[in-house]
Amino acid sequence: MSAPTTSRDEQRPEEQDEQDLEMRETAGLSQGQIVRQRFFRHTGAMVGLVVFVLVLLLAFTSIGFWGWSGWWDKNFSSRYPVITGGAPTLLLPSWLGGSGGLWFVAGEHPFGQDQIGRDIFARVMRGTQTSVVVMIVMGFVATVIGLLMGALSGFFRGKVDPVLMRFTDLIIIFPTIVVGAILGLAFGAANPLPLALALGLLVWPPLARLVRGEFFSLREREFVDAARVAGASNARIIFKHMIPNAMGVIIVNTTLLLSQAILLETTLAYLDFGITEPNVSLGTLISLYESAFSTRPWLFWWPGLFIIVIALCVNFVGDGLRDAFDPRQKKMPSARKMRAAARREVVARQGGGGGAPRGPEAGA
Amino acid sequence: MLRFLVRRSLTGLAVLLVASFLYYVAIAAVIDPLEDLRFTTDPNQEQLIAERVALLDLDTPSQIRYLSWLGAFVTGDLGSSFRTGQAVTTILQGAVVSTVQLLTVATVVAILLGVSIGIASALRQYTAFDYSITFSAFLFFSLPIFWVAVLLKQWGAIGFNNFLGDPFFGLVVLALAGLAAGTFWMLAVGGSPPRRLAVFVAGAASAVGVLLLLQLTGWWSTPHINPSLLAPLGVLTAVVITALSTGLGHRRALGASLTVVALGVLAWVLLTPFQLWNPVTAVMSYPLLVGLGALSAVVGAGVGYAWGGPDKGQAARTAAIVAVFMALYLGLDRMMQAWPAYSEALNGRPIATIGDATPGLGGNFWIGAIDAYTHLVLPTIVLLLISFASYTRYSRGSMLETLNQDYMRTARAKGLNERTVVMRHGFRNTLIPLATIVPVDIITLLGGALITERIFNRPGMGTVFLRGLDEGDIDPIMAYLIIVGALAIIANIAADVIYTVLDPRIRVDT
Repeated sequence: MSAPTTSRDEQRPEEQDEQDLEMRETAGLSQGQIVRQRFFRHTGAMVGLVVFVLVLLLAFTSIGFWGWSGWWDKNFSSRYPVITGGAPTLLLPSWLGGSGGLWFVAGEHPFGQDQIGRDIFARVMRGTQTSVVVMIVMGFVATVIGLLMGALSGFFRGKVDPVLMRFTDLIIIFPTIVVGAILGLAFGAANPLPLALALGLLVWPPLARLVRGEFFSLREREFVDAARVAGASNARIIFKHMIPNAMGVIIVNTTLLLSQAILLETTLAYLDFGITEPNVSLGTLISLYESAFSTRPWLFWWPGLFIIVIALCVNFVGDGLRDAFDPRQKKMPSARKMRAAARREVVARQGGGGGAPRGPEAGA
Repeated sequence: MLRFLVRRSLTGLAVLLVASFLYYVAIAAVIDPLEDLRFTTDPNQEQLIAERVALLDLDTPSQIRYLSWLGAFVTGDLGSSFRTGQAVTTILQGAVVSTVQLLTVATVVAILLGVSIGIASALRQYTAFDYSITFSAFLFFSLPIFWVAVLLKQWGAIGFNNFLGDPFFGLVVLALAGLAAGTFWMLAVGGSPPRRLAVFVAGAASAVGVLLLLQLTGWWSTPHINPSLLAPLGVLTAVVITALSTGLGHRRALGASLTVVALGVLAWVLLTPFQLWNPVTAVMSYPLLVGLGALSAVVGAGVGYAWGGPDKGQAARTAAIVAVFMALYLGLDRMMQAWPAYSEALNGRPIATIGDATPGLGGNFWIGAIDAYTHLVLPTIVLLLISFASYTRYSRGSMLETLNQDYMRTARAKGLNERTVVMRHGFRNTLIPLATIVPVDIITLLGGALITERIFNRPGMGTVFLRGLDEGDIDPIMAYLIIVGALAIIANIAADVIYTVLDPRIRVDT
């Protein structure tokens, strides 16, 4: 800050500070490090990520998978003797107004039982597993196809582009749920994989269009020309130079696609065009227990709650990623925090002889 | 522009043609029209199957069947449902009306609410209000709508009907409502702590006051908007509309709007105590209702011009908007006058969860209108949730983009007041990208309507489609797909055209 230049003198002091802060925040960091740092500072995204991982852990360790039985001693298809009319035995701890003493008490059937005594906790866990597997497979298939289609179409333009774009038109002109229902009728079964693959083939066009738009601007950039002059092949330019530069768009939209994927899958399952017996998904559970709502509402609440939690977490992670990849985005402290920081600074300048470290606020 | 329209329509038709072929073949491969016969215990099962195969021509490959379907389609014959024997055109007539009703109400309410809240959220960026709106938008995005629909049907409808049976708010409910309203207004208006406190108290007091007034006057069992409500409501509308449209400093506009309110109250006196409604009700229909609304706008504009002044146009515009609101209140009042009879006819449980009309209800136009709305309430709320969230997000983003433009700074720098900057320079430009979202959003809503119609048993187009898939009946499915596909293509062209009309920087003459 010594020997300020004339142009700096003209700026208001706050503006100068702000630029310094920005520089300090990103000095000496690679693009990836900046993005990661911004993502980890995004409270909503971090909460979403942690809750999502917890839900996955709960779902996959409790009743197990691939033959491993997990730590929960009930499974999703057996009938058990009905206890207390099937009501949930989960007790809240006393500090939450429940009667469970110091901590949660799970009891025999924490989420309750259905009409014929099946354990709802195990069923909801199983439904979560199925829905998450469909969601991830769908997301993977859609990302790969959307990425390839968008990249080819955006890179080669010419004759390839209109053909690919008309092809996406064929899918886009109908609401996803309509085409999904037709696909679900063909591929809906107890095994989630065929359905997930088919739906993955359905939801890629929006991603393809975004990647295509991104490629349109990237292919005019100097580094692409440089790579071509250096003798790189088309494939190398696409995969080594352009896709890494379009990664922000791809990652963000894949994440947002995932939250739509789980809603689509559960909706289809609800409409009986998705996962069928003997397997369960969160959607089939809701469809199955819809009529029991007035007598056994817990059958209906739990699966819905898990869908919302998963979709909400994924949405928040996507939002955090979008902010992290967006160079214009700055995390703003609230107006009150700004005023408090300004006051502290004034106090520090008057009392502590200026130059008080502003580090903590920079990251706040 | 004409070349663009022709070119886009032709591409659209081509896409639709190819899509119809692909989907016809795919659906023919997927559905099983013989499913019920396979599991029948009827002794002459084989004969029945043979009959149906002959009826539906199932031995011919589906590509060939597509050609005959297409041949019939271009001559205007959409085929018929082999299950019921009804022609598809007959099935669709009622279904299209039902779906259009649902989509119109949901879209209009979602745009009004979503855009205004989104813009308020953008103006209060990085405040608690902004964060809570963002959070609710994410929450609404993450809600499985079938779950919400079932919840509303099984829980909301019963609760609301119970409330209407015994309309009484306890102290706790009143306090909570006041707290919620006060907090909302406090966060939305913002400002210094004393101002926040004042807004909070005013918001909470008015919410509690209105609820108490409605309860004490027995409004819930005999709803109405008579002059004691109409006059304050009208004045409030006039003030708010004038403040947004021209600013309260524009005295002539304010005078014109208040005159319109006075005229509205006069109209109420003529219509209700002097029973002018009776001849109107006899010939009432939806087109006439729209016509009356337009007429009131013309009257309002006339009043605005009569107030004159150097900028008649602004006063006329403001007064016309207020006049439409007054007409709306008058219409609502007339509809509410039919409420006790309607509620009586349905044994005091008026909120319906099934269908789109009460069968064999009879009554005049207003009873029919109430009936349509009580059937629309719950499905509309469900659809609202999806599009409300997207409209808030879009209008917030669009407004933030606009606020960062240089012309906004210029507008402020030349000393315009905040209202003019936000409403004239900000709001108008915010609407440009938003206008292109609306047609596309309607297509998304059609998908949502599919689910809502299934859950609330509304006989709409989605129901036609789903039933077709369930029963293996291809003609209704194809009719649905063609209508939706054509709508999507038109919507996309409309979005592009709107964009060019609103934003002269964009050109389409390629």
